[in-house]
Amino acid sequence: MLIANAEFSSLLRGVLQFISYMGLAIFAENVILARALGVTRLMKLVPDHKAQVWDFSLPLILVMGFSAPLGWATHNLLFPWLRNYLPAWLPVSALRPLIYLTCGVLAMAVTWLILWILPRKHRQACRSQLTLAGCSTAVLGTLLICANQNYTMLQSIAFGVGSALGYVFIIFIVREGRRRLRSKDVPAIFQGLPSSLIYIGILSLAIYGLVGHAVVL
Amino acid sequence: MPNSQNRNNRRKREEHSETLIIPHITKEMLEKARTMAAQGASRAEIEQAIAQMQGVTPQSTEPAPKPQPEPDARRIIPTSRKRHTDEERKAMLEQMRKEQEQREAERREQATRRTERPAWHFPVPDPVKPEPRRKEPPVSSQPDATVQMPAVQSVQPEPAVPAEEPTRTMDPVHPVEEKEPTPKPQPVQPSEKKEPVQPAPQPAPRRHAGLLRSRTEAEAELNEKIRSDHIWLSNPVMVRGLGLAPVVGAALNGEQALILCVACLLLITFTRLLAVAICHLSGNRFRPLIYCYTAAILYIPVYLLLYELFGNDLTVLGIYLPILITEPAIVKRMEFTELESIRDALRHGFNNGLGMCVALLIVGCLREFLATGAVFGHTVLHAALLPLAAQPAGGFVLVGVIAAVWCAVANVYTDYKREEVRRLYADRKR
Repeated sequence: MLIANAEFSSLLRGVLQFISYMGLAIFAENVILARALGVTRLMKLVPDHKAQVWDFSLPLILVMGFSAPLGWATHNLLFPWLRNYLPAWLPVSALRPLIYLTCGVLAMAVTWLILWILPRKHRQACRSQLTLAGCSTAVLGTLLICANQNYTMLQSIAFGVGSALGYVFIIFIVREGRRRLRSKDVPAIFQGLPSSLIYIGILSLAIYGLVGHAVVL
Repeated sequence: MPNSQNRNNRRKREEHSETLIIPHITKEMLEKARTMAAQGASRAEIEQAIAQMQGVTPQSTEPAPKPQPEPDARRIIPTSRKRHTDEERKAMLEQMRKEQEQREAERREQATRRTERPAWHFPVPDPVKPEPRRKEPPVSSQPDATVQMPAVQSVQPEPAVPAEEPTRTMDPVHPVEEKEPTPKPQPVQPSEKKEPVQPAPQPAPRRHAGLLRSRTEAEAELNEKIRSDHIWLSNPVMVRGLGLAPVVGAALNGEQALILCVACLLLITFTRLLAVAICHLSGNRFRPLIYCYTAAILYIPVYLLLYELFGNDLTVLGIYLPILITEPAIVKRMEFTELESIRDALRHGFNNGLGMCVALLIVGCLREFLATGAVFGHTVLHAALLPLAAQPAGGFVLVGVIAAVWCAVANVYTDYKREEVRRLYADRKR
């Protein structure tokens, strides 16, 4: 009975840690508000009424979720092994983008297969957005952050999924803000990109005031 | 109720002039008719005189005027103007055509001087199709012609005088004309082979200098120029919103902005060049993977070069240097299905890189100045005007304000250029 309680408590601790890292990634270390990752894609996605948000968001969540353990494995297993074979003039840092990009591409392949479960119409729409979602600074940046912070696998997955959810959260917020910013009261020169950037800046300032310190870039 | 007079009957009691319907009337005929009417000639006489000028025998019952030794005093015989023959009329038409062409050439020349535009800005009218000339009688056969007709000039060959001169500001290439010596005016030797060939060389040089331009084409070209100006008018960061992550997240001061400048310039230029070359080989398929992997492979030599240049300062950029390989400013082209040429890819990539550099340096220096009062580490002000500028929030707001000002200035300039095109082509059809 005592053993069961210990396992349950460790499970609870793990779940709690998972949720806390997700919350950290969604709010305090939001990829957009705290680090400005994926802002360009967000700016292109928000005013495009043809592109459904979930057609982009679902592949993004899946890619970031699947790439996180691959990134952890790369950082903890591949790089220590690879350092022994690399010449002295070639640091591992020069290869990081290439290898993490490969992790993202593998996650894209897995996501492409998983999207079979969707109905045909949604599947095609999601697959058309898959490359844009996978080849994003948000995916690569999250992998690099997890590696720099030396997260465990669980933490990496939580942070990756949380970052994706935070990205989707900001998409909806910016979309609503952009709809309201179409007012004629906004000066003409601030219409469009400038007003959206200032709006995101104010949101970022709110997060900065909530956290109280700047995140590690 | 007084019976008011019908207004339409008032003219019946007055003398009113008759209306003559004269087909193909010319100015001379009109003057002649007026003169004769003033002298009291009858309608039949006027019609006969006009018919004589037209060279048409009147179908009236009256006999045709014959040379009479004693002309009737009441009849007015046209002596001031002699009726024109067919040859004279053709000569007149030829002269009018030449005068019109000369006027058009002068107008275009004046417009060119006034606007200082190359010749292709002004449409060249279609060359007039020359009619095959007939053998015309020599002028000496008409000794009593009172109207000085330049019939002699029209008969003579004029190969040396082009119908129109495009402009004097542009020196169009006339490869054919340069080879052929300019023929000198020769005596009249009308030959059957030469005459129809004479006007043929005139439109040949027009095709190069006078590509017909319309306002729509000019506006399209202006839009293309605006679109291809990746440094100012179509800056990738400030206008198109690309590359915001390094600008907002990493360009905190001038030094970091400079490192990012070098990296972006190299990566954008050579990634686009190499990726386009590979896309040519792959049939323009797998573009996202090609662009991203090309950037990732090029990142290795770029990183080594940057490490040689800046040393450990690269570490302050954190994740923003590696994520350049998926930055839309570098791989945005993968979303376009049109496959550009290698030369265009190099040019566009370099221009995009320069535009990114300009934006990075402006934002980096401004943020450093506002946050610390220094520029590239040199203290300018001993006070921090806006410490928030060092944070991503301040970066967003600052980039938004700069983008607004940038777009406003660019819009003013492009509106001015569009208005200039509109004014230039105001009198042309679309």
